[in-house]
Amino acid sequence: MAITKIETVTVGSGGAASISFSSIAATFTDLMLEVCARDGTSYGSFYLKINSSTTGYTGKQLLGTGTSVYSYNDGSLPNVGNIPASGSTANTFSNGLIYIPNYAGSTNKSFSSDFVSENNATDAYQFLYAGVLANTAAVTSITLTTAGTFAQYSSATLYGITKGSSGGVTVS
Amino acid sequence: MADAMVALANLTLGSAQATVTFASIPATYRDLRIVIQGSMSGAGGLFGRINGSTSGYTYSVAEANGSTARATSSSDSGMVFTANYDILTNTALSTLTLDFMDYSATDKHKNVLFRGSSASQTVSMALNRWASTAALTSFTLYSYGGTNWAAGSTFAIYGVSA
Repeated sequence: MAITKIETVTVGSGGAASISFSSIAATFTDLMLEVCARDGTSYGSFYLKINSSTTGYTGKQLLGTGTSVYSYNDGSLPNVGNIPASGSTANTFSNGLIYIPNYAGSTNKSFSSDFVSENNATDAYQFLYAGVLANTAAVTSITLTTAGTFAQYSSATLYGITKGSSGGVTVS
Repeated sequence: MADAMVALANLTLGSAQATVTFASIPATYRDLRIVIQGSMSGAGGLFGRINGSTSGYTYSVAEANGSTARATSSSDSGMVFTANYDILTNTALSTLTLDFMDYSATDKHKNVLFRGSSASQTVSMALNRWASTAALTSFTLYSYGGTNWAAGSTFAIYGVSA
């Protein structure tokens, strides 16, 4: 099977400071993380942490706000998306996809992130991120945080993607 | 129940090479996804060709390099186009995906959605159209500027069923 669901985490009543996946086995080829999230406070930045690494990241952002477009370099804990917060239209959540290829390999860890945050108003965000962690350790845990706290009903699902061969397709 | 997503082929380069080709792609699935993690011998762009065709391509690209964001388009590019800024480099790994919707259909032109992430160079998204109703049976990846795919670069293709 090329795609396998590993785990889903859903935030309960009261919210949560983080969403975490741990003890990730080296069974698959790539990891794919689907996120649907809202910040319960007045912030909206969304962060990714691989293993316990808080340094060693490099990234580039392409951000659209509905009226303007921006690009930034990112060198700290990766700000891979922007999610609706307490000032956004009620019941709106972001949708995001984070992809980590060859997560169990022995090279540095590159990743991409695509996020959109609906807000039935002018201020809604489209967020693309290119990142790399200069660390060759296999990914065994992923922690998602916001600048505030995750609101109830925020969720994230981790999938494993497995390469293989079938149907006579060749690559050379 | 049949798997909705099937791994079709994969390659890890043992040595540098200029191009990578996926071939003998059957019309079994509805969509295709190619996932690449790689680097090149120098900074460069990524281009592709469907079934070896050198004409009939149009594209629209939005990209950013950490300070400047821009959008470009062309009605006759000669190939699947992914970014004007360098999307590959020899200093860091890039994560690249290409999605081909309805690739085996013979009643419509072919769309290619590209997403590229190079933390040291560029973040990019692109939409390409190949103005042909022929089914996609092969796809070749090229570099721009005479650079080669570096050893250790990985390539995988998946079929997605309706």
